Amino acid sequence: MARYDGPIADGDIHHHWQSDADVLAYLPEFWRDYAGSSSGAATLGYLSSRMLPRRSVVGGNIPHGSARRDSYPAQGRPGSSYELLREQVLDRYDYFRGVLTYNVGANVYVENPYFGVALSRAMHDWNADHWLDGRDDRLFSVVIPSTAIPEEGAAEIRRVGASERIVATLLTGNALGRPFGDPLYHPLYEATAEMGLGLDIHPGIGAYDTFAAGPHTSGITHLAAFSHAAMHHITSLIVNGVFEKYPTLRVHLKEHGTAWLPHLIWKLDEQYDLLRIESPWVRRWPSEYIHDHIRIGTQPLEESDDPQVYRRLISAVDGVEDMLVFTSDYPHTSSDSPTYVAGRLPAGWQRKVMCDNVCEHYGWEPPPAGAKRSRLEPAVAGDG
Amino acid sequence: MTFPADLIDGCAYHDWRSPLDLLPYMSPGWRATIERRGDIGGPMNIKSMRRYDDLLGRRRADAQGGDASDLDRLVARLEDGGRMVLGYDEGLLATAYPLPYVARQTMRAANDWTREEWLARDERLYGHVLVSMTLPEDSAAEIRRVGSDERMVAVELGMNGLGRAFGHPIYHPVYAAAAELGLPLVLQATSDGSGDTAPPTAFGLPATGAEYEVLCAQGLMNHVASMITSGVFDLFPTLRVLLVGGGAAWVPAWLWRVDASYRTIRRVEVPWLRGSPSEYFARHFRLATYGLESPPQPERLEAVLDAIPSVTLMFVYASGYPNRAGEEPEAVAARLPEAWHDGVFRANAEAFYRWPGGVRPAHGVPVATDEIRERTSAAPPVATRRES
Repeated sequence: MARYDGPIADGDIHHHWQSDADVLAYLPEFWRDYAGSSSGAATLGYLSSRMLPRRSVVGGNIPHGSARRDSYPAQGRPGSSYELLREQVLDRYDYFRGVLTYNVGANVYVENPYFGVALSRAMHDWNADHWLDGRDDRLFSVVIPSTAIPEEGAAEIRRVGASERIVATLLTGNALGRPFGDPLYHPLYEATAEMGLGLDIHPGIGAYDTFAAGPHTSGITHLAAFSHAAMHHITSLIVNGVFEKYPTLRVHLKEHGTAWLPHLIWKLDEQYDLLRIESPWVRRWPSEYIHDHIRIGTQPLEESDDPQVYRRLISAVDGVEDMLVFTSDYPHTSSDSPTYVAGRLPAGWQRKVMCDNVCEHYGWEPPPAGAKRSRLEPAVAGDG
Repeated sequence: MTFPADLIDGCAYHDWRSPLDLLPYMSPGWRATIERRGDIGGPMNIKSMRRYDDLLGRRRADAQGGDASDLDRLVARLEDGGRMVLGYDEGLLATAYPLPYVARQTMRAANDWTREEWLARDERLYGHVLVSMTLPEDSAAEIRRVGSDERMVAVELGMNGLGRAFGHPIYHPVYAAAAELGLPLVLQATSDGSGDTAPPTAFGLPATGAEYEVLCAQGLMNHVASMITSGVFDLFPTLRVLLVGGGAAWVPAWLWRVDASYRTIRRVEVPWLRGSPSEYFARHFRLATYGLESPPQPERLEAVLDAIPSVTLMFVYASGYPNRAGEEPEAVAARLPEAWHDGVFRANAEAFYRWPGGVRPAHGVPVATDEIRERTSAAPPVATRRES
């Protein structure tokens, strides 16, 4: 397998605040008091933070708090140190650009939906000041809207999405307990389409998450079942006609894996007749909607013993080389390095998946082919 | 190609025309209750309601409404040397009836009805012991009651009325009884599809029947992973399971992902496992062809299925007759490699079911719960992580 030495664009880098107090500082006084009213809550750990929804403990019960051991900075949480991120990711590989996606931003889906809206605003303002302030022109980020109050979420997309550093709306929790094609969520898509942003979906944590056949009893099955969310969201978006209603919408599902795509696409196309009866606004084959509107993050790239077995399987989907986009999931334990992912792909796909498809999704002009380093000069503020 | 006369149809569906068919096999008290004509103008409905209607019709166009209840049409499909195993799809809905005493009565009646009115009338027919997963102890007793009948070749797991994936210890009495009698298990993809079961899909309910049909394998995936990680096959090492109706192209993706999670966190959660989940799958699971994906380019199906461990042993032909989604052997054969055919249409079913007169699988030695407990305190293996 030819080694890939071209540029990297990464759709999923989890950045974080050093302590909850960093974000609390951006809250209005009322919510700051609310958040801190249980003494010391702001400094509590991952599972018990006042700023996160309470959900099944199984999903979070993973060794090392789900972050790579080497990703812990001297101070603060994994993902909170720009210097470490630069060393371990941005400069270690030939990064053209990367999208910062919080860790994982499920704070917005706390049980109190009004607090969630306030938190989302505070997070976005913190992000603009600390990460998108021109310190590194390779860094872009997302807006995470409330899904519990979609109208508020849409307003936040319009407020934050105007920045050229914000390239996507990211959903990491379905607070209404409905798959994402549901009309309740359409105000979010209207705002996203209006602002010309991508629509990204990432597994999150939410008190309202439900699973096929009942709750998971182990992290093993819980993690594997991330794929179920992707399969359901894609199906739901098609069934509800979201791509007919918002024809410019581009959706990127990350950290759900990839190898379930042939199964889903075949099953969907097999039900075309039924879809036409129940959802007459479905005007094209589901596989066509998927090819034109859906992008799939590579991580976690399935680990077949023989890479050829995976390549043969995923190639069963026509044009899949246009649909896969590189995502590292740094700094989580299940993260994939660019070297690993590129090495598992056919040589002819590498440039597309590792860079060009990512650029297309986020509306970037890809770097010219042949440039030795994609980032020749030091960072220039505002050069987006 | 020609099919062997001894073709085995691993799962066709039979059903009662009306609850009245089952009355002769019920207790006098329930007989009186069920046949009473109240406001609904007919006998009491003993099935829970399917959540999603199939607007194109669940049954084949050429199968009249009662075809699943028409023995003559069903056996007309068989050669003299062939065999057909009768399962339940609509009947499965009775196992999740919210009042469990109704479910218990129906399960018992259905098993006697199958033996008396189907198996006794044609020697090429075989049956499933139907059980209710909401009543594990009663179901274990039912398996012991009718499972010694040689014509009953498997246990069909009822619907998920308790809302717990099937590895949960609450169900282990069912597995203990099945293992004791050498009976394999049959798990239908529709086991989470009624209004009285857990949601059939992750992240909310489907809005349409098509959405449900596309995603109905999600329940199977979680049942499979739950049974493996909960130690069902460590406790009952001879147990095997046939998955029906959910297709198969999801299997590689699912096993790769479960294996990857297992490598990361096994020592925390499942130290009793003696290998990767995909190794358990290869040993203990089989896939029925009913519901098998049908891509426009059939050769691509093989490219995907090839990634399933022990794939040549994996598939069991199941007509799914008289359902619309059911398939004749020719249609299945046309998209599977010829080298698999003998396995698919005969040998794999021969090895899977507990056939009469055949050598029953050794019962195996269940791993004592104490040993599982002991293994949880053993020194954990060193975690490995991929070098980046």
